[in-house]
Amino acid sequence: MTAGLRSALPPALVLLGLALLMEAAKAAGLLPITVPAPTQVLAVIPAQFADLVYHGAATLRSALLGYLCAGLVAGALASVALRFHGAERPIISFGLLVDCFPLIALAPIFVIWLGQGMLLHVTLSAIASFFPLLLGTVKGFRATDASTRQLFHVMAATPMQRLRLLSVPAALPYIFQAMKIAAPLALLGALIAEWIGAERGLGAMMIYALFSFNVPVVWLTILTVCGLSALAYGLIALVESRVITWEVRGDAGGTDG
Amino acid sequence: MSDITLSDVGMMFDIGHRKITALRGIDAVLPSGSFTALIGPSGCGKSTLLRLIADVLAPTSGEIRIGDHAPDAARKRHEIGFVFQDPTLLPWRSVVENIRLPVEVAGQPAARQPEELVELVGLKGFEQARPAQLSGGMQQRVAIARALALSPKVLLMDEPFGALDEITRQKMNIELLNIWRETGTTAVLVTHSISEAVFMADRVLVLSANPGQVADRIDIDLPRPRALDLMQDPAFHAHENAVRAALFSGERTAA
Amino acid sequence: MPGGPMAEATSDAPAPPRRPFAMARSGRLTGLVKLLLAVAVIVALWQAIIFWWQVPAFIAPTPGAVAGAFVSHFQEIVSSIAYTLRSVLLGMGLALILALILAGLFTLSPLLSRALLPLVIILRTAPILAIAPILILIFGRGLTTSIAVVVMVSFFPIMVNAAKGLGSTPPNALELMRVAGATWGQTFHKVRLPYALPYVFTGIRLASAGAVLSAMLAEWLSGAPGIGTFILEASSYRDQPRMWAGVVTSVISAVAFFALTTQAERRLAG
Repeated sequence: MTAGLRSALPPALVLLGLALLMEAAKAAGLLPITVPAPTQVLAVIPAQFADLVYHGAATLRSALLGYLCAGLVAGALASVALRFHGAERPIISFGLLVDCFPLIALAPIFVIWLGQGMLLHVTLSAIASFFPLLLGTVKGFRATDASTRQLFHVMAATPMQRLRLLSVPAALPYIFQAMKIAAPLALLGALIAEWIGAERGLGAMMIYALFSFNVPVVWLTILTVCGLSALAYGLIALVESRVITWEVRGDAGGTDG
Repeated sequence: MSDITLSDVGMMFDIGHRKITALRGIDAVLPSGSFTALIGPSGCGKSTLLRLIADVLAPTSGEIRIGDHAPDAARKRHEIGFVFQDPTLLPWRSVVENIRLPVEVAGQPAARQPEELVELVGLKGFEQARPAQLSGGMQQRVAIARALALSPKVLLMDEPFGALDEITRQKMNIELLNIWRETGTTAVLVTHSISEAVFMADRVLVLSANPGQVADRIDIDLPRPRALDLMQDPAFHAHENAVRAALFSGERTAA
Repeated sequence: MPGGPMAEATSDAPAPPRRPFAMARSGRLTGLVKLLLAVAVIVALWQAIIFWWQVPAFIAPTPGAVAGAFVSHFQEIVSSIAYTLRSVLLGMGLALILALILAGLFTLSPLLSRALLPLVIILRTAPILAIAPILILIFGRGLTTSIAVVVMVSFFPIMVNAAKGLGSTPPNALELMRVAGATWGQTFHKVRLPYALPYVFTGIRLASAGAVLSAMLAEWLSGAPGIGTFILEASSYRDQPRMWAGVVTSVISAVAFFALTTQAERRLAG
């Protein structure tokens, strides 16, 4: 924990320094009207707080539901891919294809099919966060090496024992990594859905502020989204650090491989 | 009793559209409680042979018996201990938990207490350490202790010390001999080191490649218990030379 | 039970001879055939679903209607997608240059790297696209905004991988250059960069998955005349075939762009 704090110190200082620099630059009149001083953003928080909570709750709900749906679908597809050898490549290719679809292009079609309500937000959020979860799960359950599998064979382990004692613990680091990558994407999916048209949600609040040229509120909503995403990432990382207490060999680094 | 009997064992692999004969006509009897070394050039199928005995692979011809059982029955009765070239420890388990793994899987009472095995392989004080905190040699000791957890009738080792430096390796060899003598298990060691084979074994099976066949069988009638100074004995060198000669004649017939 | 996938583990089993070139050529050919087949199947399925369930045209137009809209709006579609792809290419190029410069500076100054690299890695996982509205505020409603959004989104994956790549140089190679008396520039050019290149291309590939989306999103919010705006306009006129023509065009472009960078990466990684 203290080691984590120590490594977090330099970037935190950089962020703080950047904020101070912006404040000074703003005071010196060096920044355009579209870039507010950090204190200007802070100043609007009290007036906007109720709105932030109201809209933030909607975004968070859509993102959370989408994330869960993505997790369920990814888990189901991953088990098919792992159970049937020939299915792995088509399923991964399908996931990759979905991942590089421009979400915004599909959005108007989904609007027609699902309407503009929460279903749309949840769906786009699920699509946005789906692929890392799929890839992480499949990679994780494939992460055991040949001699460890032979060891379990020689020990005459049952399939259930294999799963419990070998496959699941071996997959966990990969799954956590995927969960960390997918969480901000789920939020982004919900946000994009709200940009397309919603009455409630941080995306809606952002667009409204953008079109009424309320600069500090635009910045505030964006910072809120980034904060929520960092919070989600941090929470998952915290659980991960409690669960994965051993040294993970190589990098279970999900999509950066 | 748990003699290992190999009768006319052959192994073919289908690779693409080609059939490759890895082993052909292997005949041998490894008596109960003996120590056998398998040595040969790379590609001679010595690791494959070990995996046939362990029922990791099934022979395409011939028969293998472990005592009164076929290998798969022996495996399911948890009578086989296997040590890989890599320690293959589970990184999320501590030393003692790794050693206890076969006991958990078998669901039968431990033949030897894991704590006792930790002491036997000289790792007292490291019971709760995770594999990543241990050196390569220490990890391999854990792997050996794990293989002994159910007091297996046969102990199969696939170049277990291949990745270790010479000094560690010789220390481990002596410790392994002590453990083997104490447990009375039938040991089979795959190695590519002539001196290791001669130092450890009662008999050395020399395999030749393409296809893998028994080129020669050399009995090592050096006295036990064996210590490091045995390696300076002329008799030791004579045995080494015999193994070397068998290896090279195998090379020639293969070429 | 024994056998099967476990055969791979027997380290001393002889390996079969390989013919990589023949394999590669037939692989590419069947790949193309597979692709055409997949497209044909999708179109047929699309038509069949509409025919079978009598899907009304406002829910999904027929492939024929979409093709018709594609032909009648051909020029507009081409100029829109060209606009979008231009912002993608310019944005990714700029992001690449910036990322390489910064990653190069990191190799010069460990302090800089310690202070900034964690930040870059954190931002790599942040929903960067969310800041698009700020960029619209700052850069207005033109090509600059689209480019800026693409730069912001592409920069972090490329940067993280470039830094990883520049850090992956074997110490022996660096020592060799030092013994040979090479300058920092020579070492960078002859040793660090070649080792880093595969990583850089991985970064480009990862960035390319979201680049078209980012450009379209910028257009969507700013109204710049790209394919994103084309789709938005068609959808506001409730002109389904035209909208679908735009969607299909953008999806194919995005997938093709991603496939291209994947190929480039694979070619380089060998």
